[in-house]
Amino acid sequence: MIFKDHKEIEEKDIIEKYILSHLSEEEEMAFEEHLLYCQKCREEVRKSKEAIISIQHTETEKVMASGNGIMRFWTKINEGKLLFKIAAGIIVFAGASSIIYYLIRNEKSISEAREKHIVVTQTDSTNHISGKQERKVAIKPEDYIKANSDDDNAVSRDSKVLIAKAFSPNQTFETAIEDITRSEKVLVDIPKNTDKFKQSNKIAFKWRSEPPRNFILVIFNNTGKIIFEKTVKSPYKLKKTLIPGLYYWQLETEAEAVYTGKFIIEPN
Amino acid sequence: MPTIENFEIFITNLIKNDESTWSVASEHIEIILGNWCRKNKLELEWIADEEGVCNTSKQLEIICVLLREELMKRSHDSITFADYKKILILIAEKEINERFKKFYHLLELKNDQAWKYVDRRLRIYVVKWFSNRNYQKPPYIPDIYSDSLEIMLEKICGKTLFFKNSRMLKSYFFSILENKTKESVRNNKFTIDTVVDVLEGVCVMETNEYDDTYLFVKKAMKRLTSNEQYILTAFYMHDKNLLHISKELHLSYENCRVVKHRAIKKLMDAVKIH
Repeated sequence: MIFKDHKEIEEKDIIEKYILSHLSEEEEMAFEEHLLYCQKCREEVRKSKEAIISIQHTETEKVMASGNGIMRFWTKINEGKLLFKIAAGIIVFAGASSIIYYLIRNEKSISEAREKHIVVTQTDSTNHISGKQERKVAIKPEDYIKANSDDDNAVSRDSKVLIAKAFSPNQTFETAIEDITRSEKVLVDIPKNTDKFKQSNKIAFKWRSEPPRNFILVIFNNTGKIIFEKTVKSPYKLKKTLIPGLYYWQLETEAEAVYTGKFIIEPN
Repeated sequence: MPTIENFEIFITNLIKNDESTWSVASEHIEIILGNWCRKNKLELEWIADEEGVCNTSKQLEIICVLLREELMKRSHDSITFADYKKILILIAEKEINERFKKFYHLLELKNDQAWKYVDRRLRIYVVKWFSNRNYQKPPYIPDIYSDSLEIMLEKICGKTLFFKNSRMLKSYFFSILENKTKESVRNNKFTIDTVVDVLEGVCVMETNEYDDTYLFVKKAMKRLTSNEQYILTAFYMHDKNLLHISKELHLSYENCRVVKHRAIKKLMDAVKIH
């Protein structure tokens, strides 16, 4: 059996019977096969179904409108969740407060670090002066985060893990060391990039420039945090005692950094 | 929308993953599955995946993929429409039951969305159920319904029950409802009334949980005459036959049939305009 045309379907109210499941199995199968070939009938079925569902919803609303038992039911559904939401709110508030406190405490160091652009002056491995190209490298945001999350004193807590962390290279500075651009002619004598000092040693900085001039000497720890900053002339002996770790240093003018180097402080 | 001329070509195109053929097929599958679920008292909407309650179109997509895989396996056999339907139903039944288990787990966790779906369907069935039994005292129906729903909530969240499919869950709910109703009848809260006055009363329930189509049809319903409204609700909601309705309204059977036909056309036009 198969429905050949719409006339038969309309005359026998087949669509409605189908929706109300009033067709025999054979009729149903035939109509479903017909539906495959007939877009008009598919559309009619869809629209009729939507209309009937809407009638049912409307009628249900009328009957269910009175009485407030259903509100009680929904309160039950949500009662446990309210306590959970309050607890979650407290935890979020406490977390946010501690983050804000932490940020305020470190605000100064963040702003200093943000203002500071590491201006890379190109050097080769022997610190020989060449070309005059220049490139500015801003400290990456993750470095700011690291700078704030790592307290200098933390390393002195005698934790091996923290000490190991203090020696891990900082990619931003490593790139600056290996870069080959510069705008000022500076020839650094000491310290060399491979130099290692004992913690008790006083570190000497010596460089030559044309013309001779004072530079701002800036020393960073491996997280990018500024440890020392002062306008000095060559040679300069650092009086500050540094805790073991990897350090980067820069010679800067008011406008830019002209040299980036590194050294290591080892435990005594 | 492309037209399908031949069933064999249709199957070949499905296996070839022809996009336009699949668009016809998925529309067709949706109708077939809707009808099959209705006949088997299964709920196509009560399904969930790892992310939560999922919509039927997502379910349909998965069924289409599985169907194609199955058809590919049988690409050398000649497949009739009856075979095609059988394969489809087998896949769909397995998928729907599988996803119902996840949906049921959400019910155990008191998931709002899942319970909203349950509430939305059950309240329609409850009104029909009362209507079929001629219990017509609307003020008590919502209370009995919500009491029964609360009991079911407690039982489900107590994790002492397990239902393989939505039909079993509904059946359990109606056993609770029946007991609650009997209790109310014993306490004289209910009387049996054979006349249904369904057209009175104002809709105050929130409507935002239904889609726009529903609102369009609802507006269109209000524009129908009282006879048209009565015939539609009595026929589609309370499962009364046209002969019974025509006697109630003192109309001839044929006249009643024409009025019903005209009214449903008006509503369908509202869907079409939408």
